[in-house]
Formats: sequence, structure tokens, C-alpha cells
Amino acid sequence: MILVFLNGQPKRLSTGNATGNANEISLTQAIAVWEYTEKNFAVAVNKQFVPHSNYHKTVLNEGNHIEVIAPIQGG
Amino acid sequence: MRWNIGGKTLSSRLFIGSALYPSPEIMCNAIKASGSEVVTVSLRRQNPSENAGGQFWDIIKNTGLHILPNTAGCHSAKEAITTAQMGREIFATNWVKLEVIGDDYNLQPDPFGLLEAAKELIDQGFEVFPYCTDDLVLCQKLVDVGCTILMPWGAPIGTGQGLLNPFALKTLRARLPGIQLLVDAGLGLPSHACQAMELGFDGVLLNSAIALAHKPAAMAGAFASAVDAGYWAYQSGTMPQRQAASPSSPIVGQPFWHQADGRDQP
Repeated sequence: MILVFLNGQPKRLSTGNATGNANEISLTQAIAVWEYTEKNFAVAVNKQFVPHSNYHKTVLNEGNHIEVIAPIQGG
Repeated sequence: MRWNIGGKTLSSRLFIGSALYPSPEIMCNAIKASGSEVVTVSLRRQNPSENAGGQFWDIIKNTGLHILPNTAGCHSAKEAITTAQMGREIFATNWVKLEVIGDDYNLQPDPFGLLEAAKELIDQGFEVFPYCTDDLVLCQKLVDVGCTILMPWGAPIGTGQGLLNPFALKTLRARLPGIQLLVDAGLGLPSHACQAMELGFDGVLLNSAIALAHKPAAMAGAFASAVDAGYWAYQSGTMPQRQAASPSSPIVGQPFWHQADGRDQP
């Protein structure tokens, strides 16, 4: 179990399985756990943009800050 | 009159924002009435339980317009660069309205962060539309790092005060003849947009003046007409100003010319 921050809110994530390491969880897994069903979002981890194609090989660690953003009105 | 900007061909020189409208329907009507072909959008945190972003994006996609994602709210080059990258993935465009805010009271761009972010994003293949102040040296430096489009403010965002420093804007037009200039922010009236175009600007970007009007669609049409009027005024060449009156009707042949009237007679 690790503690990360999703859009500034603390979230606990269970680790293990997908990456073969019991202490790790991938961004793909985290997105699934958080039930983001829409595809029109983008993600940054610790202020670094992570392309969709890299979610599966992005490993989240304790204390990571994950931003998930989506389109909104703007001027 | 069609024109090219950022690799795209447009007819309208009015870019419109998508924020602050009373409803999505009113926004769509205003966008349509404006004749705009470019609409600005933003990005915000999305919680799993929400789908507001998806609904909004569906509406904007249905307009068929070019999307100009902004980096509104970013206070550093790093934040702006990351936000631009995220916008490129979501909206599938290399266009970005680059905002790096240096002062929250005025929402004044941070020239140093803006320059740093613009250079990096251009290196990454973005078409950068930097929201900047009207400072000539900043604008020159943005051009030096590769910007071919600049968007100096007319006044602080959302104030509706119009062009606070026409001298500076005229200077930009004169000193940066090969650069496409759009006034972004601070316009409140169609006459403000017309004035910007009369100065030789290539376009204007605005949001609040239309969205906060009592009749947004009607105001959008008014801005479209004003942009056209200002554009053609600049293209037509304006007359020089004079200090003294100069009659437009011919003097020669004027009735009663040099004829004494009754008041001159004893």
C-alpha cells in the first residue's frame, strides 16, 4: 500500500501484481482503480506529462502527485 | 478575405473564448454568430465521479472549429509546458495559447517565464500563441526564440477597458512587421476590436465581452462586424489627421462668395 496524491487529494493504492513487483503499481492500474472511464483526459506525475502510451510503464511511488485533467471552458 | 495563421487558413479574424456563458446553448449560439473559426479552451482537474469535461468537449467538437488550448492559471514555465503537453494530447493540436501569469491581481503575464516556456515549446514543435504584455523588448525576444504570432493584451483579462496603451500596440505593429499580432484580453466593446484592427493587428481574441453581454449572440455579431470594419479600414489607408478644419465641399463657386451681407453695411 502506498500513499499518493490525486489532484491534490491523498489516496491509498494497493500495490502488486501487474509489474511483477509486490511494492509497485503502474499508472494504468491506478487509473483503472480510480475508475476514469472517459478517454479525454491527460495525466502528469510530479508535474511531468505522461503520454497515454506510457501509462503501463509508469510506476507510481509513495508520495507521487498525479494530476488528471480534462477539457473545460476557457478564454 | 482568407488568411493563414499557425499553418491553418481562416476567414474570420475573431478568435472567441468558450468561458463564462450562461449556458452551453448560449455559448454555441454566440460562437456561431461570431463567425469565429478558432475557439479557446482550458484544462482543469477531473475527478473520476465527474464527466463535465467530456460533455463540454463533445459540444466544442461539434462546432467543428479549430481548438486553441490555453495554459490559463499556470504560474511557472514548468507548469505551462506540462499543461501545453497535456493539451496537445487531449485536443490533438500543436496550437497553444501560452499563459504564464506573473501577478494574480492584474493577471499580468510573467515575461521571464513566458519566454522560457515559449522557447521550450517551440523546440517541441508547438505553434505558440503567447499571451504577453505590450512591451516591445519582450515581444522582440519572443520573436527571437521563434514566435511568429504574438498576442499582447489590450488591458487586463476581463476588465473590458479596451486598448489602454495604443502607442505601445502601434509600436509593435511598426517594429514587428512580419509577425502576426492579435490583441488578446481586455476588450469590452466592438469599437475596441475595431480600433485594434485599425492599428493593423491581424486579429483579436476575446471572451468576456461577448459572454457577459445581455445578448451574447447579438454582441458576437457586433464584434464580427467591428473586426471586419477595422480590418478594411487599415487595408484602405486612413487619412492624415489635421489640426485645423478643412472644408470638404469646394470653395470655388460657393453661393454668396464674398458678397457683403447686411451686417457689414452701415
